[in-house]
Amino acid sequence: MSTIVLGTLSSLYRSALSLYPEPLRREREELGRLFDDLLERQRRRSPLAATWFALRSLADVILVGLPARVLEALGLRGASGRDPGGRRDPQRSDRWLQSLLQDLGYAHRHFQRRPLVALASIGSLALGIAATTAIFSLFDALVLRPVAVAHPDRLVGMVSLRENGTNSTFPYPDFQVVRPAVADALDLVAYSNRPTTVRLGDGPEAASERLYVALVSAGYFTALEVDATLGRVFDQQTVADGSYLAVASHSFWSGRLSGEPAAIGRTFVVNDQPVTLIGVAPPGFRGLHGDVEPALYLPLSHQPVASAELLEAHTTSWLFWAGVLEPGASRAEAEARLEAVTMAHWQEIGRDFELGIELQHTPTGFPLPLRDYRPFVQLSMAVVVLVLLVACANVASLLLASGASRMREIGARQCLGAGRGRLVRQLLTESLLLGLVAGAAGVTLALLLVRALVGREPLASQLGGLEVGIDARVLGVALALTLAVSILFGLAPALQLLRRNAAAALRGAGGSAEHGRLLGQRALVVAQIALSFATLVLAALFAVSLRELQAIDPGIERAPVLMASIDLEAAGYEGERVGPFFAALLENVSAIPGVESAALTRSRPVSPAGSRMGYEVPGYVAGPDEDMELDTNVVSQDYFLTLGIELEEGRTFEPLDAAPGTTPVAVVNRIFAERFLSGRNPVGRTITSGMFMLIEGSPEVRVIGVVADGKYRSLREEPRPMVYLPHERVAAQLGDRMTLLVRTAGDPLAVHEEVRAAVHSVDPRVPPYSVITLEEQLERAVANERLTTALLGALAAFAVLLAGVGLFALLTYWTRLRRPEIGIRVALGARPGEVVRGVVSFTLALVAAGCVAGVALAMPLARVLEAQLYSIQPTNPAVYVAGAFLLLAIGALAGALPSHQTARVDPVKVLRQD
Amino acid sequence: MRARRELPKLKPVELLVLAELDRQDQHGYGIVQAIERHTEGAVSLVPGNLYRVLHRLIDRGLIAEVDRPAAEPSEDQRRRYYRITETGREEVAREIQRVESLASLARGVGSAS
Repeated sequence: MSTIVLGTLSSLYRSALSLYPEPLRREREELGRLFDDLLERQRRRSPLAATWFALRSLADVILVGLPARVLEALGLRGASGRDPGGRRDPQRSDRWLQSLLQDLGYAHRHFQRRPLVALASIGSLALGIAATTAIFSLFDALVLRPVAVAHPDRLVGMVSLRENGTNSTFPYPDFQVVRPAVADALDLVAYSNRPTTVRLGDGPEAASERLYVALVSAGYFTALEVDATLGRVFDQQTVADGSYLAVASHSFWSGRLSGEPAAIGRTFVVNDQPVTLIGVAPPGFRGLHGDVEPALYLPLSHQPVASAELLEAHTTSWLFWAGVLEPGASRAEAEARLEAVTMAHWQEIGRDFELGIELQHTPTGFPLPLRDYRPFVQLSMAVVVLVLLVACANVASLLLASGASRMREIGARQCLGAGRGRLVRQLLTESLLLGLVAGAAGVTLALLLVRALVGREPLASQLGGLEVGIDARVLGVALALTLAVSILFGLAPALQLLRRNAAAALRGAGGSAEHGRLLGQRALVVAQIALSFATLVLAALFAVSLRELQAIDPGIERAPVLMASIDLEAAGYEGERVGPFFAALLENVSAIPGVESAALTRSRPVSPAGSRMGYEVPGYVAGPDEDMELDTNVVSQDYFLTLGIELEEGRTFEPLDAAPGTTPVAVVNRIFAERFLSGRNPVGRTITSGMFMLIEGSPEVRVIGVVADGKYRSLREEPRPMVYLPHERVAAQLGDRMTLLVRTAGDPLAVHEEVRAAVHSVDPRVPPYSVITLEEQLERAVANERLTTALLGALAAFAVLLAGVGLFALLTYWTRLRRPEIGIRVALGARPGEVVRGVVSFTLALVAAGCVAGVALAMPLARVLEAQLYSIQPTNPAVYVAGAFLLLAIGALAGALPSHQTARVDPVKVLRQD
Repeated sequence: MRARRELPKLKPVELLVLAELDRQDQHGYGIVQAIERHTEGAVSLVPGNLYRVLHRLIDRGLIAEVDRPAAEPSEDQRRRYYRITETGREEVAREIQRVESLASLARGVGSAS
């Protein structure tokens, strides 16, 4: 063992020594010297012995020192064990430790005698803390955690104001004009994430991959003050030099590039253009755009991804703008400056629909990451805090109930001279002990929960590599939570104690304090029921909504279909080369054993992305505000067969429809036919589109068939008109980015490799991407709702269980208190049934009160969530009534059990006891 | 008898420390070494532990801090020395006697059966 290690251990030990309480702290010199001598002695034996000795010594400091310092900080013991004269006060020196140990001993014995109370308390708290911690870690990652730039507090994003709302993307030429003009207030950057095909090498053997590439302005890294962990980042100067450069994200480098330092200098091919990797971004930096983590950052003025036309287009808005405020510049100043410059420029070029500019503080990135998940996470956070409150109320109520007998013990100690402060401290020690055990269990559970949540769809793909975990921030929150709830639920019995006198406690019965306690406990139970009722109602509303969503007919068969996307534009295909590629591909795929049919579609079924085209229908007069841009899908011949879409009239596409010179044809859906072609047979009618003017020289398209309506963008949508165009005819213009649909006899994933091979055999440079089954695709459409329902359901079940336990504890205690009275009534001839009825009706009254309070809590919450519900009103009475019935049934059960027991006791015995 | 019973019993570690100081005045390092030697490594004290024991024994008047002996090698001059008091000596004797009589009692019980 080297002297360096010994020196480090020695200084570590010495610095830890200040943890020791007085009087040990005063012996620091001696302790340090003794440690050095003994460590040296152990070292001569073996390094292992020395390590073991050092560990034991440190553990001693921490285990003895930390609790003592915590107590000191809480003011529960003086900082010094000596009196001012400097002499040691033997009475005092060890008293803190003794009394702490004594308290822990009492607590331990107390809970040992009541393992059920201890287990129920620890269990409910642990679950409450676990759920809160897990959801908080998500909340932190998605909503709170600032982006990893040098000054997230000075980061601003910008939107322009338009008549119909705001807009957050802008053309590139505007950026070039505005950036230098506002430089004294704001360092402006522009960026956009694009899925792009990248070949990971410049040799012919190199594999192609579909990656997210961030196109960023040259000064992006300099403005954000993000430096490379390896190699370097690009800046204005290096970009101006003109060679094609890329910076890899840390996760792409450590994953796909195996974390090799030698990766710097490697060449990738992006859209046929070689670029050189010059650096790796720091871990945790995911760019400003929160939705996906890009694999590569490329200077946007270099053209492999953004075409020259795109860079020059004054009318195409595609770049997000963000900026870092110069030190000292306020947001308002920067906004005024930016608005003046930008609006003047826009006026000059006639971009007159922009009404103004707004700067938004965006420390968590811009545009906001995972916008869809924020309401989910916020809702979860709110509900989970409700549940944690239920758990606290539950433990407080359990402790109060178990305290009935406890009060005698405490009364005895009070009579023997224990001060109130001492007793309160003991009760708080107990609740802290419970809380810490529960906190430790809760954090462990939370770890598992986070792993389960984050590793599962839909979150896994949506989080896109965003790190969610139990880090120091989350642990800090968990610890604070634990301490807060411990004090919260420990306070109830402690306050109780302060209010009563010892003699009454010794008698252990009756008195106003007893009633006060009962009242407090009742209030706790009513609150618990109200909170769990609210959770239950929310969960039920989402469950009904999910069921309704799942019952929606998407207009296609839920058949075994594999889907794989193919982007020929990215692979450099143009015009006439596109059609033959797909024809060859379909032929190859159809030949795979087990494949029933194969087809192409431009839009995936039930997917938010889709194309639209403008149409006119001769004979149909569109309203003044009617949007005649309609959903348009480009599909191959066997599309309707592959997805099982029902043909209602006419025919679907045939090979002859692709023949040049013939009139272009289209298939429309039912609602299209009803809305635009009503009155006459839709088949054979002609519609027109400007797009066909461009493609064919004539705008006319003939309708050859009508198919059933379907759900195209989301399950919730109202029926929308759809026009299908034959891929075989428009491949060159509209058909370069398609999804292959492969319908199989058995498990579609079984042909996954063969499909990949089929694509590879047509062109090895084209990678199929987003390969999933139709089932998964449909599942994604309800993934958000499913996740919310599952989470709310679990939380509601937990809250109801807690409320049940709380109620049971209260009633056990209450019937015990009333045993003499019940004894007298039984002696006077009351039947056990009547006694039980009495208790049960008391219970039902409590539950009913809880439900009424719960309705008042649930209704406004449900209204807030109305937009997320499908086909059910947030105030649906059936849901509320069912929730109330469930809780009443649980209440009746919780009341019947203890009262049944009490009613059967021998009245003589009961009366004699008191 | 009654008065003696009220004194808290010595813990094994305390007895070991007292027994070593009964032999000679000693410093902390020496005490740890001696105890390790006598117990063949079974008891190995860490600094904090030793000083808690020393403080307890001082509080109970069983040992006291003393000036270091002039004759000690200079390296040991910086160490603090401890000496057993009369009460301490009595306590060691009494404790050893108690443990021995307990042991012989146990042996008697063992052989009787």
